[in-house]
Amino acid sequence: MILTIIVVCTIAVLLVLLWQLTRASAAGDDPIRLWKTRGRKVNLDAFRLLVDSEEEIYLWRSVPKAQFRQLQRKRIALGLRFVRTMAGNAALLMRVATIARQAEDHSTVSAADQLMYLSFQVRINALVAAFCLILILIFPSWNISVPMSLERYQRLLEDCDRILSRRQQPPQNIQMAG
Amino acid sequence: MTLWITPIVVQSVIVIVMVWRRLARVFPVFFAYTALVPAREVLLLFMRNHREPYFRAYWFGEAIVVAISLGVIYEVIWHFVRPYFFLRRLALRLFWIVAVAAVALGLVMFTASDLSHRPESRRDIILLAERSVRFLQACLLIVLILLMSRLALTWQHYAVGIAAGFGAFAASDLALLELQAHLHLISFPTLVLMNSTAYNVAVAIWAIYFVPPWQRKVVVESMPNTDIAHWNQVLSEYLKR
Repeated sequence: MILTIIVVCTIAVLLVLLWQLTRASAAGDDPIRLWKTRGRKVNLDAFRLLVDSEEEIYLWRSVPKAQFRQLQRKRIALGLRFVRTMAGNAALLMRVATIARQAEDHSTVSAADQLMYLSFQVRINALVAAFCLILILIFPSWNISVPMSLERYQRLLEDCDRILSRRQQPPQNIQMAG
Repeated sequence: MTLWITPIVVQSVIVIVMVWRRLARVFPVFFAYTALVPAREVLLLFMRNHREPYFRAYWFGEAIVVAISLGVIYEVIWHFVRPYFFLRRLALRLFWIVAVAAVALGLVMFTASDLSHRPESRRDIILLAERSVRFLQACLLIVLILLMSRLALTWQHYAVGIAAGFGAFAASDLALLELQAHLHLISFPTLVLMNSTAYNVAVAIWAIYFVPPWQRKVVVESMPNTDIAHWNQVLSEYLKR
């Protein structure tokens, strides 16, 4: 019976993933345009405050326990939204980097490689951070620090701006022959 | 008859299209799979009157086809991670870890099934072994799709088609083998009929992705500076003559 349940679950997961895969690949929008329209800004200072342990201790001391738990849940939920937005931005930037890698300009290609690597790191980092936040949400008494490297995320955004500005450089003014 | 001949014709067309578009070099294992399956079917057609050699050739061919189909999944993963040096080791290591875990679970599934009271135990052993292999295939496909979607890597058109076709077939075949070889809810002729239908669906998916003309959309955002400068220089030199 257990084996049948495992087989049924495997089939169900595979079919759901295939459905998502075919749907996602059908919506092949230009990632650069998507980044400009859907790339959402994240207030990094606010996120720092949300995951700061000193801030948590301050709240623990300042408000009644019931209110603290309620506040803590709201903070973590908000933190999760920030992390998901950062992960979504990193995903979009990976697609931007994939397109930028097709450029003929060597410096753009190497910048795209760097952007890809940074996006990948941010994406992995966001997965770990989201996992930690969920753990805190389930076990509030555990003392877990959220390992989200915001400096890396900032560097990622700077790299993206650099690549996009390179792509959008207008053609040089050339006096056309003839 | 229709269920038997349709995939042979469609897969032959896919083989021709792959050679024509030089995709055989991009996906050599999938190409080998697509060429091998119709060839095996034609070979079996000539052996249909000899029961024992037919049985051996069918199951030996099936083992090779299943092994190649696992190779196709490896090929698709390699195709994805090849451009990303930082991902190669992680993805391939993950592939082997999942493969080992799924093989172990597949062996447990195989040994846990009771075969002592079965009249046709040789066929049932093969079906249960095939169920274990399809389980391995499904697990590897799940890891492949999860890895790509979690890391937000860009799926390429043909790779989506290969994964979707194999995924659909692995899922339906696993379900049918579970229903026949383990739960005994359907008969062997029903299994054969439904398995052929599932394979036809998989071949149709591959055909949808491989046969129609497909061009990658390229968004032109600005004029290529260097080309214009080069043309201008050549024209200037030409006019000065």
